[in-house]
Amino acid sequence: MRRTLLSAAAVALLFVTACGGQSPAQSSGDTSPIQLGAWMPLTGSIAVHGLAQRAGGAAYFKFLNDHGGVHGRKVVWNVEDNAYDPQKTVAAAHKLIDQENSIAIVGANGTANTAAAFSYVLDQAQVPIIDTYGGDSTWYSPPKPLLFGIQTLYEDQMRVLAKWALKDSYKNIAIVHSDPAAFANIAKAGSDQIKSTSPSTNVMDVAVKFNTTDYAPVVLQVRNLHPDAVIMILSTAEVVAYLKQAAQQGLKTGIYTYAPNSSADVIRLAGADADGLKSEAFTLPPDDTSAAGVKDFVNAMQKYEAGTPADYESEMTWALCKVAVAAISKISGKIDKESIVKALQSMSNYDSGVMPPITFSASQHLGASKIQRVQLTGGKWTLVGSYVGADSNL
Amino acid sequence: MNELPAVLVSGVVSGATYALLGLGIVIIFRSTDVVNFAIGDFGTFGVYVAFALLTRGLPLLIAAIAAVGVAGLLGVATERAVVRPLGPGKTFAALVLTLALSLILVSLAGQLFGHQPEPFPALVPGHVAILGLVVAWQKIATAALAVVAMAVIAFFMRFTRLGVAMRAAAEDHYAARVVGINRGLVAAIAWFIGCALAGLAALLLAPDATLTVTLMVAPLFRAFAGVFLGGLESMIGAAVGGFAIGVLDDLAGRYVSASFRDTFVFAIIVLVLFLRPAGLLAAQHRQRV
Amino acid sequence: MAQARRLLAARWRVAAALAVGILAYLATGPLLLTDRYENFVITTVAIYAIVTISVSELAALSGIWSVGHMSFVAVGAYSAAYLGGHGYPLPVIVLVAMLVAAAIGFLLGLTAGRFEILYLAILTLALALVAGEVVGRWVAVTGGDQGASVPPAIILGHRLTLDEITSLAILTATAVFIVVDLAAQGGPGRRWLAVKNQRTAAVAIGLNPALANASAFAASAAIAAVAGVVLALQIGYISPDFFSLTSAINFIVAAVVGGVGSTAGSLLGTAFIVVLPELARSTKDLQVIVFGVLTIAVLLFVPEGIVPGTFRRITPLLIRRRRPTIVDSDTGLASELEEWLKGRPVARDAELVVEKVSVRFGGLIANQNVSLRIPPGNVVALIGPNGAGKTTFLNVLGGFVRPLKGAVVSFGGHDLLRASPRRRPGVGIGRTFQHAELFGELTVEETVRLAAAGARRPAGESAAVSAAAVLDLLRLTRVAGERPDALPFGVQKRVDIARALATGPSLVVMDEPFSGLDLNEQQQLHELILAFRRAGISVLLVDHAIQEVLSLADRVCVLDYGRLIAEGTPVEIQSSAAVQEAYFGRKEKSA
Repeated sequence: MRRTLLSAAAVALLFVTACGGQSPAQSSGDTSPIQLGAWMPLTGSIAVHGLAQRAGGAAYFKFLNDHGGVHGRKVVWNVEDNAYDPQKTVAAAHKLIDQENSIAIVGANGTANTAAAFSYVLDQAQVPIIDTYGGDSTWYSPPKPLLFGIQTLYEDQMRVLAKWALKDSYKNIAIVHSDPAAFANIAKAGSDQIKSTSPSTNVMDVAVKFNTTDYAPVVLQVRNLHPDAVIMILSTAEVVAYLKQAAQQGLKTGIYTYAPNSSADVIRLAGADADGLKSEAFTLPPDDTSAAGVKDFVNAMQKYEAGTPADYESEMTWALCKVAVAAISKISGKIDKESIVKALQSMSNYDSGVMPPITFSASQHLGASKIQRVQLTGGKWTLVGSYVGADSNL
Repeated sequence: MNELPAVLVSGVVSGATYALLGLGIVIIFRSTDVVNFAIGDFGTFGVYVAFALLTRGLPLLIAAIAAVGVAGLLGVATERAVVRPLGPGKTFAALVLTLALSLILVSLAGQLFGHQPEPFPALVPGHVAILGLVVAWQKIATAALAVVAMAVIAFFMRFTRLGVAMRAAAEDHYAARVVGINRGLVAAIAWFIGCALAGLAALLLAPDATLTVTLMVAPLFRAFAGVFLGGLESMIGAAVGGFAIGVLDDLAGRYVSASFRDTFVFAIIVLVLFLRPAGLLAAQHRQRV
Repeated sequence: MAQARRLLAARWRVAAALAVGILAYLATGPLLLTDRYENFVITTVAIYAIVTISVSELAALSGIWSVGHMSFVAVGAYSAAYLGGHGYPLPVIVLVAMLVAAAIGFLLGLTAGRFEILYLAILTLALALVAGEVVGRWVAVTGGDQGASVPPAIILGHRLTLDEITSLAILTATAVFIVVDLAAQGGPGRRWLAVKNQRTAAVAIGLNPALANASAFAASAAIAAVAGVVLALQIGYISPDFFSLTSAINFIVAAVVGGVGSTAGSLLGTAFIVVLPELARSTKDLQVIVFGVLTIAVLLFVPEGIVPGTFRRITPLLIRRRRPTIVDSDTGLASELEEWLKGRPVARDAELVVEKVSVRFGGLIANQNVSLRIPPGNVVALIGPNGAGKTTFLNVLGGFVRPLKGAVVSFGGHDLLRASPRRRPGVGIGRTFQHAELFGELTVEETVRLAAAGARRPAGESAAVSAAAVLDLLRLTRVAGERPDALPFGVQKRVDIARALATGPSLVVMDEPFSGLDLNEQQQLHELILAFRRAGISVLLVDHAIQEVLSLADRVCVLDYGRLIAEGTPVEIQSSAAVQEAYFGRKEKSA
């Protein structure tokens, strides 16, 4: 009994220390910093993505604050670790909103993780989310009032890939994808596109268990289907594994993949085996600084986040934060969660300088529908054409 | 074309990693009663050290030896510093302890070497076609090493004084002390060999899977499946189990369903365990009423 | 007395749980001490504590470590999503979730007896993996990998707010903690512990080990499912990511760090896995390292867990405990026992009939054509050198080994070969063990009461009363509150007899009852057995020592190399040449 009482006291103490910090009352003085929040995996198995994305956003806000901020106010961008776990994501959302008084979530990593936080963030706290990575077509049709996306839908990316492969006159196309529904749905959008554009083309579907490391059996299976082109809807690690194994087995086909896999990592890890890979990018390639917007980004990364390479992932978050600040800069009057939503909804054809222009409206909360095609040649991503959408003619 | 032979070959070569790891798990378990969940991460840590040496311009062979040595020494240090003070007969506490160690090692590797995936060169370059599958020599070397390690350890356990002592210590702690076996030494050796094998497995896997802090998570999982299939007390069983899991895994992925691959593999393990509750190759000595 | 103390302790623990619950409720609710983020963390602790206690108590009471409990949490969560979506009210959802989880848990528990602890853990791991793949694919019900939204909780037409869900979680956790604690300290917990500690001895007092494991697992699974329902309500959305292997492992860490089987420890351990990472949010990788280092520190410095470890350390400072090891004087024991036994409702006309029992293990013949009878009220001794087949014969009697065809083993007309081992006490056969085989985590009183619970008792007599009488008769009342490890071996063996006596036997089978006793204790046992006989209770003494049994037994059977080589009165046996040869002749040869 004494044991129980003592531990009760101990637990109570733990709670008090855990929860004691009183949140400061927010002052609405004009010079106070604007609080924005984000959640990303900074620990755990996919921390590498969260860390890269955070670096891009952090570089942008340091750059912005060094240049006077917005409306003369500095911006604080709090990034909470969600460890790629839904429960921790919701906890992070609470912390960002309840304790750090974020007026918008700018950067929400993980599709299922972010979906777990919707109920609290969007419905209860009514704080808007502007999102990049992750996301699902059902999020935007019909639009959720407080959810905005700047990443072209995976399904649309897939349709562009399908058209691209057809334009390259391939007749037997295999779509190799991970088995969870999120990947399978994208693959299906591709095969539907191919069937409707060119009914005579043969489409094959190869599902692979998510996080497969040994791709020899998969490549064997693909080889037996005799495709002349392969579209990969897989994670970067699996794309690398596939490319290496295909090279080893002497399987030669056209190879395509979608935007999440355009990164310096593919070049570093798959080396020459990745040469010729056709892909897509959300942003202009970071290794080509001829565009002024890309140059700003690369310089800021070197200056503020020297430990992290300027890659596609950090560039995308840079763009995201730029879009959010662009919306805030248009606000006249009080900067709060409501005015940010209004400003976003009136954003039309905003050019961040690193990605296709963004347009939102009351009925359209997905700001981007276009994508930049790229190809890996000689260890470098090079541009193919200009921005295209799912309904463009290539 | 019939893919089956090629799928089998692929299963055997990927099973080699599980076999090496499984062997390490069983050696440590038999001599100290500890299920070491951090064994894979010792291996990964070793490969990171090798990677650091490579980037400083040391030859691959020296880096490779360093990887195996570092993994083994980390094992010895762990046994001495935290496992032995825990005391004998605490199977589950020890298991939780190694889980915590695994968390620490992964985070530490992330801090020291970064979370970025890194390419790692193959120890043995080139490849060869076997039954319709092109297999890297590296993988064949892995499989051969697994078999050789199994044989060497079997010989060591059976015919050397120290090996016999280790077996005796595993059978009966008290008797071992009475006949003057140094349990501390036996434990240290077991942890060194076990973790060094994990270092070897990681070293051979890294070129294929690229080096990340979570390099050994998936293989460790399958190695455990193999260990339980073969029997936690049996070294041969663990190695054979590892190869079997490699083959089953590839067969299931290819011929059953990508989505139910684990279900298939574990259904077979559960079935085997129902027929032989201590694993395929273990002596059936203890059974409850 | 012991019972009263336990009841008092139970009351205190219930009060403590209520106090923590009310404090948490007040802090998060009416007193507004916490903000929403803190409420969320506290809600998470409350929900996860339910899972931790279900994992921890299952391990403590049944020795089963489950890595698969996230599957049961998932059952609860998906019930909330699916049934809630179809308009079912919350109580129905909770009930269905508990039933489904309990059914799965029951089946897994039934198999527990077949496996050792680590293999059983692997079995539950397999469950977790299969559940993961099923959830991912069974899109119609689970929403698949993309998850499912959970409709808001409605109680009596009122839609629960976030703060009310916090209160609901705290209320549920408090209720679960109280119920679990009462069950663990009460009848079910004692039965599960008895089976965990000594499976054979548990069978000998009529317990069903498979059923005990299965019911423990089912209860634990049902509790985890409750947590799942509340979890789904808290988040409003669920996906397979919630039920990862990492979280399953975290619960085991929580259970071990807090203290396995400790209710307060479950809460503390859960706070450790939830609150610590939240406190250390900003430290990134360091947070994980600190978590790992603290876990290891706890294991090394308080290996039994924080709560029991702290308790063990501070108890000697607070309470000076005496260690009573002396049993009360035996004066009058035999006659009192005889009187009492005569008043018990026991069949005194049952005869043990054993005919043609043969047992073979592979090529080895353990028993060959063994036949013997124990008429009512007789003391029969079965003796023989080591390896003569006595243990095998005992196992045949106990029902653990099947003899070859043609054998007859019956007692009072009951065919024992057809009855399961745990039916023995029901027909009046009690058993004691060479090494006492007491239940290590039960007190003397609990042990005897558990044995009495399944016995035939005079109308209106409770098991507690019956147990108290047995303890009093055998002069064990003073040690009633002790666990076996605090008792000298001689006293342990007497507790073993008390346990057998409490089952209401008309035949007591005693395996080497004299071994390990000092001369005084041997004399006392001698008196005791004679009292049994005078009260009409038969005794089968199985021993390899001759002297003690010769002066006690009505008849003696001698076993050698699996066969009966002699049978007769003690006088006949003493002069038997075959016995001389078996016992002494060979001894001389080998010497």
